[in-house]
Amino acid sequence: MSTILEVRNFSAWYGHYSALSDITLEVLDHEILGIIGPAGCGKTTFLRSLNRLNDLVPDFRVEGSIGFWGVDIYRQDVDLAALRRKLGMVFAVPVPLPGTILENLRLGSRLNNRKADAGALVEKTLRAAYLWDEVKDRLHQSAFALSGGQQQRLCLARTLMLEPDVLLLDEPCSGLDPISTAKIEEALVELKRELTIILVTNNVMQASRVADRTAFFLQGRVVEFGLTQQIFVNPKEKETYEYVSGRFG
Amino acid sequence: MDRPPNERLLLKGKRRIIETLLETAVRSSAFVVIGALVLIFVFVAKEALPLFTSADVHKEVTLWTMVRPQENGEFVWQPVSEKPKYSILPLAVGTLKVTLVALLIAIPLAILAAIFTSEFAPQLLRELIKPVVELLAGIPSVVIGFFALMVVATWLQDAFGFVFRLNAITAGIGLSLAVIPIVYTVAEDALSAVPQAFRDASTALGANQWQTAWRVVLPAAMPGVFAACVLGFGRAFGETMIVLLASGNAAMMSFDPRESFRSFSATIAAELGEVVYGSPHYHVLFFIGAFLFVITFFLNLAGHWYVDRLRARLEGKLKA
Amino acid sequence: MRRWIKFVGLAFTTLTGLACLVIVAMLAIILGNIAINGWSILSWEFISGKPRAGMTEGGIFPAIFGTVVLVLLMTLAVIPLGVAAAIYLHEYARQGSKLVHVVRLALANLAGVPAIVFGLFGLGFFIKFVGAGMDHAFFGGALAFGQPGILWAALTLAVLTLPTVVVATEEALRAVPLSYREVAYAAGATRWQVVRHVVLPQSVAGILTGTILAVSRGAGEVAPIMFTGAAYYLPYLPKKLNDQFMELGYHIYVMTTQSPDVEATKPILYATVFVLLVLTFALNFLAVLIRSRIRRRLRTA
Ligand SMILES: Nc1ncnc2c1ncn2[C@@H]1O[C@H](COP(=O)(O)OP(=O)(O)OP(=O)(O)O)[C@@H](O)[C@H]1O
Ligand SMILES: [Mg+2]
Repeated sequence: MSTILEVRNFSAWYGHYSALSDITLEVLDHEILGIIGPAGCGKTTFLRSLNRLNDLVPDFRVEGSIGFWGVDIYRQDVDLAALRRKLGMVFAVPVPLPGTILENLRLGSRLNNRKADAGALVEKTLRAAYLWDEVKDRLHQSAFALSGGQQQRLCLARTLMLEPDVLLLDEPCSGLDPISTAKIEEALVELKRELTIILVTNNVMQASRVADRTAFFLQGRVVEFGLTQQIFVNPKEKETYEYVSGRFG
Repeated sequence: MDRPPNERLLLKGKRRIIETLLETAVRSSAFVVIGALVLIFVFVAKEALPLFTSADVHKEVTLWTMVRPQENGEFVWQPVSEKPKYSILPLAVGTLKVTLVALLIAIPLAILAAIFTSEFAPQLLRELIKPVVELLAGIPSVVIGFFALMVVATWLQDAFGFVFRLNAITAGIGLSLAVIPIVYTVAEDALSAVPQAFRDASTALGANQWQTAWRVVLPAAMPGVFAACVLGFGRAFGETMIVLLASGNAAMMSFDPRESFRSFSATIAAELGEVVYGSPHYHVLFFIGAFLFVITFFLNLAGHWYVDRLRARLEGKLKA
Repeated sequence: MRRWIKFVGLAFTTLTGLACLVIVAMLAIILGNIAINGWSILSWEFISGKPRAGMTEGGIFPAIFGTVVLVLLMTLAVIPLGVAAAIYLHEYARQGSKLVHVVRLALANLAGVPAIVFGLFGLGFFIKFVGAGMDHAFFGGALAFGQPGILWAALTLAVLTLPTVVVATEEALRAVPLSYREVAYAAGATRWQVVRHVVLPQSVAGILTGTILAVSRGAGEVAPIMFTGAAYYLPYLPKKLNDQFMELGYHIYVMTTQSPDVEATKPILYATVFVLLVLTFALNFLAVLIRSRIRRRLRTA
């Protein structure tokens, strides 16, 4: 498999606060990379650095490089809009926009002044997000009428409509019931065939269930990075062991 | 399946022209705002300038003759006469007189009402008072002036037997109606900005509601309350229509609030319509306008400086 | 001692409540007085007719017409500029930058400039500078725009209402959750697209409310239009942008101060004031109505 994202000596700051220091790792095409670590260790910051969404934060600053298909995404002349379409993101809290389910799904095509996407694509992404059966008869109803779990799958589908290369997921199952969680996890495993997934999760078991490889973050550093199997069964570092066995902190 | 590197797709292409145009428009609007304020000053000051520079104007009036006593020690504003007289002191006295009356009424009322709203009033009443003040602020000043002239003046004259039907008390009452909303709004904002934690701490120490309001909340919000007074002063100082209608428009050099008077703003409003373009009188009126601008400008700066200080103070205290 | 504290407390609380009551009473008295005196005179002839007999008889249609056109022109001028400035401040500028600080300061000060100074500015800038310049450039020096007219009065009022519109618009923009913007950015939106596709559609009702409120404030201002276009009496309605016009507020001022016989015009005056109040309050109520509607919708969403 080839490397799709290559993070080299990457550090990030909010003002003077160092949120990430010297991260080096690479993400392979068509894998699910799990990112675990305690609250505040920099998981979200890392994810939002990958699509440069943190550029919106006023005093955010980075060093080092992130290569996407060999292009440094922090180069001056990178088209942020194009970059963010290639690296689609789903947030921790489901954020449906006001409007119907269909309007939500067509956000991307509206932004790009494309003709509204064909119904086939809508159906395909909704199926991929395991949502089709639940919403196929109510595409013209408000997205707010969906349950929390359905809203999050809608957000996943909305991101998939962009046809990204990489899917950035920030704790997509926090606050969801086990059934919704299982559906999303199933969806992810299916989706792996089409794209690369980076899954930030608070739920260690979730990483062990779906991730091919896992990185353990602690206080802005990568403590350990390897095959999920190895991280969970045979961790090299003491902190990793303590964290995955639930004995941390 | 290996996808090819797509460098070309990632790098910036041409931007859409319309988008660029609209963005430029948005950005320039910021400069238009600043420009508006600058232009106001420049164009008012420009017409005032001849008062300082033109020899023709100086034959009739100079800055000095506007403030010094005229022959036989009088101070007279009589720009349209055989020998025009331009003492601005009666206008200054009139303006201060009416501003003082208005503030004496408006400030206590508005601040007490603000305390009531933010500290004592139940939610329902609060929701009622704010729209009332908004409505009051929405009454055009010409209507308030009309009301002061037609109704308040008669009532007051009947009650107190004023010699001058229109005087600084009548106009001051009308003017206070225009000042109350701004003082109330700014003061209420300041009081509500005081964190609930302050009140809780005070209550925990055994203070009751009014002690908390008086000894904790009001002192904490003081810069904001002060700002409210300063901004109210600015509003009163420049208000035109109310004073124009209810002052009696006599430029008398009298400190007695029961006598008629004339203010700076009302003088401009009353005389600019008839004045000859480019005459000394014309320039003097613009000079008064520039003066009003400068005074209110600094009052506003001061007011907002106090508001900022309040904010800094509350945030600082919260962190500590 | 305890009793005494209790008494002072009660007195203080009562006093603050009383202050509120006084303010409410003041408003009630004004509105009541004008409504009672004005309502009885109001008739269709009064609203649709022209002034007659030195304005002691007849109607006020030209003044109503002038006011409406003036307010429309002012709104047309102030909305694009005010909304653009608010978008700049809230969506484009880096918060805390020097320019933002200066713009906010300018707005705050603009809001405090006395109305009569706007009148001087309108005369000095729009009429004597822009208007005269236009005459010179396009009309061969003939008097066309270098004189008071409804366009200049509307623009002067637009500058006066600008700060209120900006503040109101910004408030509406602030009500759009940050997460909506992030979703759009994450979907590959440019800054302008976020504004166009997410922020504006979500805040348009709020912007409308705030703008109507701001405009209703401007609608009653007389001082800025006295020298920039309002006329005592005109037998015709304004047809061109540089025509003078009659306006309700100015009409009230004129009739109150220059009428040969105040007692004779008093009923008409009251009715005119009533009409002006109804017009401004109709705008106010419309705004409040829209606002409470939005609030309810947001609460249920
Ligand atoms: N906008 C910001 N400004 C300043 N500091 C920030 C900002 N966002 C995050 N931080 C800080 O950076 C650190 C890392 O935050 P981040 O959100 O990346 O953690 P996380 O691993 O995602 O935590 P969680 O599991 O709680 O989501 C935290 O200490 C946080 O306080
Ligand atoms: Mg996080």
